[in-house]
Amino acid sequence: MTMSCGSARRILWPDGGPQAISPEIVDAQQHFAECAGCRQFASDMRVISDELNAAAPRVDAPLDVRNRLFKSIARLRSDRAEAVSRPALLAGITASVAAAALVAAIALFGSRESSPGSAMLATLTEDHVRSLHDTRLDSGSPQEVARWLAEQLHFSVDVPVLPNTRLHGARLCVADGRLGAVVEYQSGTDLVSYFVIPESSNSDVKGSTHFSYASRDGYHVVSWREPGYLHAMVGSIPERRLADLAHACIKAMGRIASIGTPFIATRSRA
Amino acid sequence: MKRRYQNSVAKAFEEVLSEHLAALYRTSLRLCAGREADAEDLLQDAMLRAFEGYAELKDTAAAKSWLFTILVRTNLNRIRAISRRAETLAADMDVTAFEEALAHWTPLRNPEEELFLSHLRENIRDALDSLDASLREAVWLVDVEGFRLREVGTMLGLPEGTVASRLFRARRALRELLRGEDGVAGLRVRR
Repeated sequence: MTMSCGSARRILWPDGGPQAISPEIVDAQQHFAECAGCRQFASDMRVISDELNAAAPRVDAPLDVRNRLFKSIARLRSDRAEAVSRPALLAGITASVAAAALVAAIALFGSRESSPGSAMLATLTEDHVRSLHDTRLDSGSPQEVARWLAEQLHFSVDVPVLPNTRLHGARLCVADGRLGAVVEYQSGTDLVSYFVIPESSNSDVKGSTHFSYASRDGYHVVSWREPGYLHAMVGSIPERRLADLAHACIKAMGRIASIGTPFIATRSRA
Repeated sequence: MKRRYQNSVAKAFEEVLSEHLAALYRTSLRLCAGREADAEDLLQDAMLRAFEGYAELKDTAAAKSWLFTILVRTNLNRIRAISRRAETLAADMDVTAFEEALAHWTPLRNPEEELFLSHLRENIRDALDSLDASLREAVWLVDVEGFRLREVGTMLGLPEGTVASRLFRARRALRELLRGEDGVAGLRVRR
């Protein structure tokens, strides 16, 4: 053997070495054929490699990490989309404004005797505009729902996994002429809707998250704000349970440190 | 039109990312020596860069390798940028030193190494995380994620031989670490 063990091992590293045949490789292969120590070395390397592969910790990405990552991508994506094309958004806004103007005109110039209240007009307007965007997704996958919402809206939405509920899907909604997201959960036999609505002005929301409570027609609403967005949980499940879900929602978004006790909050009864 | 194209690119990226996310996350976790918050930061940083450049990727079949390349290079930049970080990059061996190290390998014949796999599994995380960052990176990418030396060389911008010497040193160091002083935590050798 003319070649040293070290050279032969380096040349044929890790298993069998390069395919191209050169005098050096031929020498190394010859060395391996004659040297039990080098064959042992190659075997040891395979054993260690196999053992490491088998023993290595294979953790999956936690759901909250996945959600935050896809939300960041969705945000970047919507920033890009806004930069490229605003006409579609403008068209949507124009439709909303036109519908609102139409309803307002009916209210002003129609029969005053039967003129509905402003809340009713708002509801009609919203219903009409919603029909323009009547689209929904049925899915139990938070990632799929988040992606779908990112495609529909100009902002991204966290789709949290809430305890003791099943993700049902998502749809769009219109509130005060603004297109928002509704993520739907099944809680027992009840449906809980989680609304995220962009707000027109950059509301100055600082410090602890403040929950507001309201009830109407047997439905409870727990709402809170973050800069630029109104969040609300709506459902007929007990208010305490709804508050727990709101709490879990904020926790899933990584903001648990900033919230106070849910029941020290504003309460209004409509 | 452009927006539709961007949407389709974004969707394709998200599908590729979903497919490889578990492997990317666990690699990120090991690159950051098990520090979960750092791993998430690294993953976010790298994948946002990947998203921005995905439209330029010509061969989508190479997407996995491309995503890992961005991940390991982003990590390398972070380690270089943050001087206060305790991790260092190991000095690489020259050819002579590498051959010498290879020649001095002691065969896995010690009965103390005939130990249970559960011991290895219990200790491997700490053992991996105690390795020098560049050795850990090499052994993880080759032995765990299954990349070839050439691919890892391309990812890191290093010659194949340098990756080989890092891999050898990592395996040797792990063997020593896992064998332990009393041989309790050793590699189980299948013969």
